[in-house]
Amino acid sequence: MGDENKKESENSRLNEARKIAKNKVAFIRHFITYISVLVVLAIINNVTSRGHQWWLWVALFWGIGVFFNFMSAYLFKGGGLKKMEDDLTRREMERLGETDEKK
Amino acid sequence: MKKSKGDNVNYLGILFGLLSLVIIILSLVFLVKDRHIFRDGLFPFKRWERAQGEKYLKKFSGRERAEGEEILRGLHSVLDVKNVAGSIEITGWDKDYFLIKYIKSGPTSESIENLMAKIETTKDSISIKRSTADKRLKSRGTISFDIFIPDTVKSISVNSVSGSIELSRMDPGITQSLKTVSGKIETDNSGNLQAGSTSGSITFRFSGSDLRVNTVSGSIRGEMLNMTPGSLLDLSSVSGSIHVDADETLNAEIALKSVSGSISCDFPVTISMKKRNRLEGKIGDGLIPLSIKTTSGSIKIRKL
Repeated sequence: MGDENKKESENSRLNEARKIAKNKVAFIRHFITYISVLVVLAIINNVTSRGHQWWLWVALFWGIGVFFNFMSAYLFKGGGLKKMEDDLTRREMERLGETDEKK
Repeated sequence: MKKSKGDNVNYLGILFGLLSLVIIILSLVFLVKDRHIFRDGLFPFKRWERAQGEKYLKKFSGRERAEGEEILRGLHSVLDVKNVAGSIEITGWDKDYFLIKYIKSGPTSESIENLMAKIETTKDSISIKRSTADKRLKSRGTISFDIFIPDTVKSISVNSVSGSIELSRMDPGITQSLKTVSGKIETDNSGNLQAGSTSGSITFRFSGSDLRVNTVSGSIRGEMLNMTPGSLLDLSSVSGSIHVDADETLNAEIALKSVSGSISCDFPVTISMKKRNRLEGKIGDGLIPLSIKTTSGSIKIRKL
């Protein structure tokens, strides 16, 4: 029974680690695409007309998307809400156990 | 512990994340700088502030203020205004006297008492200056002028350091020399015009023979009317765009140069030289030299 639990928790950790690694690599890929497209747009903008730099709008709004991607891959890598849900479940389980013991 | 590839990916990811933040900030800064609505100080907040007037300023800035006015009679044809900080508004009117209103504003009542609007007259001219009663005291505070002038005035000279200069209801024949460091300049009608601003925009309507307008970081917008042979037109800026509208009779020899901005002209041009950042040629017979130069702004000449 103990071995099964251990194996299950190891599997779940492995899945979690895979997910985090995948998110990080996806972010790096996203960032490289972002920079490449921006360079192309900046060149098109400045070759066709050197007046208004419209590609900066793309840099701004897409950049916000890229930054959010970075936050989710590196800062909230475990999934902030998922962790919160797990913590709450554990706390509720402990509370229910306490009330059962009192009964 | 030895560094693994995974650590490198982590560092690279964090570096990319920070880079994306830097790109967001830089693009935002450049976009805001590029918008004339921001550059000309026309934020909705500012407009609201203007609408609320001095009442708002006193309430929120905790500054003391005092008002004064003076009436001057005489056939003065020259008006000279020198100020350091504060706006200057000059309005033409149909009465035969000058009305000079001023608002002094400063952090303390002493600073306001020390601040003076010095008005001197000669037979031909009126000179209005910001001055201080006690030179030893550090002068703090601003004076804003609101001046009404009769149609005897033929020449106006305004010099300011920090503050806008606005001329309205002007007769077209008045020669104007308007200079400020950080404020916009607007004149709704002018004869010969010399205008210069370091960080503010300049807007004008010109119908004289000598036009020289320059800014460092402000845009230039203007209308040029009824130009005759022998006129001289010279507009320049460092980082501002220059857009001028001219009537269809424009006969100019143009020299337009923008290092990194676009150049466009609505008039048919007989081109003598065209490069990526330069356009030279003649509009019509090319009787009037028109030079427009900017480093990083666009140049537009449109028909009225």
